[in-house]
Amino acid sequence: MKRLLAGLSVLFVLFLTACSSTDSASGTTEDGKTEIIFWHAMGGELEASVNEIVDEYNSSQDKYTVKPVYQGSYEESLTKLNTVAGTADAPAVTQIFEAGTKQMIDSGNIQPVQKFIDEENYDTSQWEENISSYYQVDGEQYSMPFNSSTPVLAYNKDAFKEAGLDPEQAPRTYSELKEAAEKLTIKEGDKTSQYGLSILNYGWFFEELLATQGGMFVDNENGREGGATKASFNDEKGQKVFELISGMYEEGTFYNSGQNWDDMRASFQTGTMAMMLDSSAGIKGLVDNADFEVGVAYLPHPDNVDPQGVIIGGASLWMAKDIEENQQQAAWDFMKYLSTAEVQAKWHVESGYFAINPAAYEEDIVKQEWEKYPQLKVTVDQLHDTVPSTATQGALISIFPEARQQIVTGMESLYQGEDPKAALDKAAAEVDTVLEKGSRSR
Amino acid sequence: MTHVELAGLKKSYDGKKNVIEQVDLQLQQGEFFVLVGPSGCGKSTILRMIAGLEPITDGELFVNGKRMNDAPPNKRDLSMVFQNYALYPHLNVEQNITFGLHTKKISREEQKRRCLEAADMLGLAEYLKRKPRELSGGQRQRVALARAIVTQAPLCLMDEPLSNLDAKLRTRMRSEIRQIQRKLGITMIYVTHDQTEAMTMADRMMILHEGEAMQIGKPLDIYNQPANTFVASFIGSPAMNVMEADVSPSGIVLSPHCTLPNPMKGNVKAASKNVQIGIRPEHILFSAPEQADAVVEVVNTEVLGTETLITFILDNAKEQWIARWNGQWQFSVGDRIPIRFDLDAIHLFSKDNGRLLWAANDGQPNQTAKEVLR
Amino acid sequence: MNDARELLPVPSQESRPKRNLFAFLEGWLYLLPSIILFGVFVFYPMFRTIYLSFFLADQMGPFEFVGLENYQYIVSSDSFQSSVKATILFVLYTVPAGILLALFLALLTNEKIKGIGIFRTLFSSTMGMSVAASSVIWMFMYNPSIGVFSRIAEWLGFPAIQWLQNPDYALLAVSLSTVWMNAGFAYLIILGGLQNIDTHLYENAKVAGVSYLYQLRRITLPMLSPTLFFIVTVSFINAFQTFGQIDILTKGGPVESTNVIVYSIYKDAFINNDVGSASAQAVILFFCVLLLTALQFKLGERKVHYQ
Repeated sequence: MKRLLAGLSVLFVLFLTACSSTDSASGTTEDGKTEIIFWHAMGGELEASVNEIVDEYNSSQDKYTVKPVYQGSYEESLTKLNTVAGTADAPAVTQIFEAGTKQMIDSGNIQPVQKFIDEENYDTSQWEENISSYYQVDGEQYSMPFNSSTPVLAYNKDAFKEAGLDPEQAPRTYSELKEAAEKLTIKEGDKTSQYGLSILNYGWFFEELLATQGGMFVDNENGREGGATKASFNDEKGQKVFELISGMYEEGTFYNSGQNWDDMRASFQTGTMAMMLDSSAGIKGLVDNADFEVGVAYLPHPDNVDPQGVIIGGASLWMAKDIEENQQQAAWDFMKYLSTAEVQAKWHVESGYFAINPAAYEEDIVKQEWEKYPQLKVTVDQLHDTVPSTATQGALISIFPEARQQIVTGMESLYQGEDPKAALDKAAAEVDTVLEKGSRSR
Repeated sequence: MTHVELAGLKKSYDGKKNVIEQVDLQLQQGEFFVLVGPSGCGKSTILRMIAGLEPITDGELFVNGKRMNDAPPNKRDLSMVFQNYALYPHLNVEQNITFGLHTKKISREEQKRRCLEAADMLGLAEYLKRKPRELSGGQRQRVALARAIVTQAPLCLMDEPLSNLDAKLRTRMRSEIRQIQRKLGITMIYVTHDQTEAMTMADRMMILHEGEAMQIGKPLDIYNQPANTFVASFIGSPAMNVMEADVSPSGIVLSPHCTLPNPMKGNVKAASKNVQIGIRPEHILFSAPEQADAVVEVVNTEVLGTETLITFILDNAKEQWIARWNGQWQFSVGDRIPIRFDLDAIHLFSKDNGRLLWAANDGQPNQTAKEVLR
Repeated sequence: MNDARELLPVPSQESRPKRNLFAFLEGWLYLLPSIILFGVFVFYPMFRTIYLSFFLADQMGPFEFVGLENYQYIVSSDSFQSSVKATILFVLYTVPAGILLALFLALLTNEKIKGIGIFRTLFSSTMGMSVAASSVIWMFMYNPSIGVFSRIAEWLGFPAIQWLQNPDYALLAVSLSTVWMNAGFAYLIILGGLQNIDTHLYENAKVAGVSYLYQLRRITLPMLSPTLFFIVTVSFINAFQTFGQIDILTKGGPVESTNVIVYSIYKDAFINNDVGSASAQAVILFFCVLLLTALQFKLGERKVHYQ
């Protein structure tokens, strides 16, 4: 009996060690192909899509094999990367969200893809300029855009009809927005069964509402001309955003949906609010799961302001620096494959993210999809209508996570009755301190 | 005056098997009553039923004429001493002794006075501020006793209080407890498995075996006229020698070489019946060879200093009997010695149920000195 | 009877030190596994954290020595002060309530009644639930539209409260879920302590006729005091380390009302990449908990009645 137990324990330990595979090192597979690891943060249905695309790539040629690994959310995946970056265990390709761009550039662990663009004389004009420019600094393309999204105004067309509003005319200016929200808010006594508008407590939405006014998040051309030193989002443009939220909340037409995307979307589906800001990547899911008609419109802007468009969100693909030459070639080849029109069309259709290659929109599957989901076209149009500037390029700072947190705290304090200017100034002061600290990096 | 009465008391845990079977008992005020029996015979169960810690399945319990079956323990006007003393480790001796006295609506001063009184009586006066863990076993036992005394309850129940003490201390405490009981006039129901304690302390006692009362009576009565073989072998140390024998009008045949004259003289009810004969070790005497009833072979001797216990066999090697002789006798194993039996001390028991059929002794303690040494 | 025994030969002077050295090394060999494990997983991280707290550091290590600057910044920052407040409140909300609840349930299920085993299993079952799974369930319960609490509030006529989005309620909400999650363990420990109390003590009390509350105060609680001391100390230490439910339920918000120190450390180290500041906060937290535990031992242990 004792021997049996001892034997089983040994087997168990062996089993455990066999189970924990190291999936961060790239290497060579048995059939001579160069294998590289691809870390991504696409979960759920998106992961299925990614896996399909990777499988198709692997079977389309016989020099390289890509192994995709899901690493959790953008934040979690970046954290994991930080532990292996610069070592031989780093994955060849990693998907990093847009807010991590400066961090990645500063880290010195990545290989700017410009090198391969130059070597091959790759034609970068086939990329959507608004997207690729986000990941360029001083004319150097650092990473390869992969999944980009923009914010949109999603609204409940049925609720619009009931409130006597034209469901095909979404509000564009803040006053139109407030009016519509007032009409859409349904109250019985002191209980509100339907609110007009909700904005997720997420820093990105604030940045977008600021950028569409042409506002800068930080100084020095949004941090793109030398490093940023101060926050500039607490100017009148930023204040307009906070005043909008604060004012509407006070009037009872604004709903606080917290910080969780799923919670917000669930509230929208159950009709808690009639309008909300969402990412273009979530539109397809909304349309599929809602039992009402979903409308999508451009991001609203203050009255008397010429809308400048939106900053692209989402993520891009980064190549590791300290890996073997053949692995870098493999990574570049994979990236090129991903940016072809067919792959981008498939990806756009399945995920709702933008195609980085505008030629993808000519593909049949895209055209068919747009007929089924005309809302998707709106998101693409908004991007094409964006005026390129450092404002709509988006800020380039290494302390985005912390800065976004400060904005979130500021937004939350509005619901407690804090004065919009005071809240914004406080956030700006905190960001200034963090910027100063962050500038003293290695 | 009847203080405590048990009428037809029964106890069952599962509704089918009775662990206590039909106990009837009447105790007088001021009596020291002992419940004695081997482990598991149910004596503690009976005590706990009297205390109210176990529900009574059937039968009645009366205290001072009032039916107490359903009364909670504190309404029964009794106190209890537990085997492991149940002292509160976080309270000192004084607090332990006066624990719960406040429920009897006694003033603080009165509580203190009673406590000092009891402490004096039991020699605890200097230990009042100590915690139980700083006391020896004997002292703890006295604290438990003091706690019972201060309640001034007329009935005190004791559940094997001396079992955890060493032999010397036990002997001393036996005497102390008895003296206190007499002095205060408390009715005490005392449970023990030690027949010596029972014999020395009881006014009356009850032998219990597997939930049934074997015999109730005064210690000497039980000793001299045990109601059955169980009582006969339980009481008395070393135990009574019991053996099967044939009885006929001519005599009692112990073995082919040993026949005793029939002591029953006129009473021949047990004639020719197969009986068990019982005789206590101290009634097997040394004899001159001519007057011997039998010559027996020694298998073991134990010299205690005051007396000698001799284990011997009659004829059948399986039956070993013990004789107890005063003094220091030196025998070797294998010696053959002549013995005779004191015919005034023979007991006859039925073979099937062990019931006492006949005893020579009429129960009165023998006043005359017995022939011990020749 | 006593034979004169031959004296055993006395070991010569030279062989004794060798034997001592061998015994010494042997002793260390037995200690080695424990020392290695503790060293790698406890002592090294601890000292490294203290070291890092004096630097500006990111995920890959320290890069600039700044002395006490991290500490100065933390101590003067509003954010840390609200973290301290949140932590103290959280501990005060969860520890006494949790232990009282566990004590109450343990007292209820201490009797030897038929079928009591089911209840005992039920009450200790929260021990088997992972923090993550429990937190997700509570998150749904707190959901303002579809959650159980809001439905009940609605049914009772109160307006729906956004439990996790309202800074006045968020900490209470998280505390409630924490009390539920920790109740199982505390319950089990206290029940064990109760079962160990000699029943004769209670029987004597019954014979004496003291009330149930008196027995509770004068017998149960004093006899339970070693167990209670243990569970209080351990609960305090655990409360300071609570992370999982905050990460899932509120992420430190809203308005940093649930941003307990441990969560602030996590955010700084892994989201903001500010490992130096996080390490400094960790050191401060360590000393606070150490101080609190020392205080508990000094003041509380006197009241404990060991047997």
